[in-house]
Amino acid sequence: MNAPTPRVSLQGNREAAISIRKLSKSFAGQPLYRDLALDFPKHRITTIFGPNGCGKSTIINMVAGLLPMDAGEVLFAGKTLRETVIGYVFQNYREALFPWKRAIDNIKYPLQLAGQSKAQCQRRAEELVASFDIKFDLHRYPYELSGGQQQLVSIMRALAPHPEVLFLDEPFSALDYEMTLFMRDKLQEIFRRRAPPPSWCRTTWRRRCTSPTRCCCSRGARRR
Amino acid sequence: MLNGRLGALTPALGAIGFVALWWLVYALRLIDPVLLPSPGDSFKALWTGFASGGLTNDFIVTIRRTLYAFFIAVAISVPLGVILGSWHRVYRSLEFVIDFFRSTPASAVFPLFLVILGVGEATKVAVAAFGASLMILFNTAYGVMNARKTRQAAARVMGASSGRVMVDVTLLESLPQTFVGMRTGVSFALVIVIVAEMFIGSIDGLGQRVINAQMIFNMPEMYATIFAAGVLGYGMNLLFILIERKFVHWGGK
Repeated sequence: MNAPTPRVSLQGNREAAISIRKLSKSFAGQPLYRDLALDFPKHRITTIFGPNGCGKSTIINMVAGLLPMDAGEVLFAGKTLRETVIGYVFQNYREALFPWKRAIDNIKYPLQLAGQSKAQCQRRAEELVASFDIKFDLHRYPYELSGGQQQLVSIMRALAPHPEVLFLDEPFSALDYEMTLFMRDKLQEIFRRRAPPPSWCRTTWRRRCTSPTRCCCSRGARRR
Repeated sequence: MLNGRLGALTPALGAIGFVALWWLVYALRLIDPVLLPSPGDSFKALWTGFASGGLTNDFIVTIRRTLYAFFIAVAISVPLGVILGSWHRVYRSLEFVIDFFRSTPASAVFPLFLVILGVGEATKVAVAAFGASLMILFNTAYGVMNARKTRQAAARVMGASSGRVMVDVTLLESLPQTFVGMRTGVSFALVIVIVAEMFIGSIDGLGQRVINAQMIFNMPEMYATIFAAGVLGYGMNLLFILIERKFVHWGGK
């Protein structure tokens, strides 16, 4: 509802988890964003919502470095993307987990990339298992798990390296209603328990904001 | 009870029926017994061929040639396929050439290889390697090109360099398709090796044994050798499926 009032300064806002400055993006000559300036608050959940094709995923993909921007700059509390640890949960868990690795090794992968030792990876994985209260066997391969379990593994993988910012791109849209409720409660619980909590950025097609959430409506020109 | 026992027999029913039909045709003399010997005579020839070592020797020679051709093809085509697959522009420009030679019957290039390499061991292996390598090449390249973008993005967002994305994601993503290429490649190499053994002055191998048996009208021997070649082809395919299941357990999932 209360769209964050952009404090436009070219250096970006150091107090903000993410500050976007002068971002422009067009698709096939059609401008989607022009000179966008936006600050995402720290330690808060920000939800981006809007109709199909309005650029919800586009903006978080650009911020996460998965999609090139035409122009503009994104800073994470004053740092560049390369200096920032981010987590990203994809909408399609089936295509985001590595099926050649067991679930537990999927979770450890970002830690291995960061050069952590086997013992460190193991300790962090155990921590996550405890905090998520995992009851299923993580030594299985992703394709042996249910959809909800797979998405849980994706979320654990994204949280493993203690990200400063966590992106969730319609994380529950491929799950059934009951699983969605369970996951939302679980995430809220994790969010509340961790101090300081990461800054979250999620997209959804519905406008549904619960307490610690700030919403931001994507009003970019529709692609079609 | 009866159902359970029959259930276990189901996979063998076709084979039993086939041999029974063969025996019936033989017993009723529907085909001249000189052309179609009894199943018993044929299996006896198979047994004595393996026991005396003659067939065993040819069997091993054919396997050796096929595997040489296969390994040469893999050594050339897998790295090349990975390079072509990750280099879109190059692949697009070479696609026609690869497709063209893949569609050219490999047996049509026998004379060319004969001129270049002479009538020896090298020619048979080279033609088979040529055909198999094109199959492996385009399958590997397709595997790399069709690697799932989401998985590559997932690794990138976790901070993987493009080299790590290649090794940790793209190569593994392409593996199921590469294995399909290797499986068709090895079957193809076997076909070419057997044809080469028949027609390119050969003194051993299953192909040469089949054609020799045919020329001296030793029909049981001929059927036995055809059967041995079938066992070889079936066995290689089965072996590859087992290897595939072990190494790319996630294929198709």
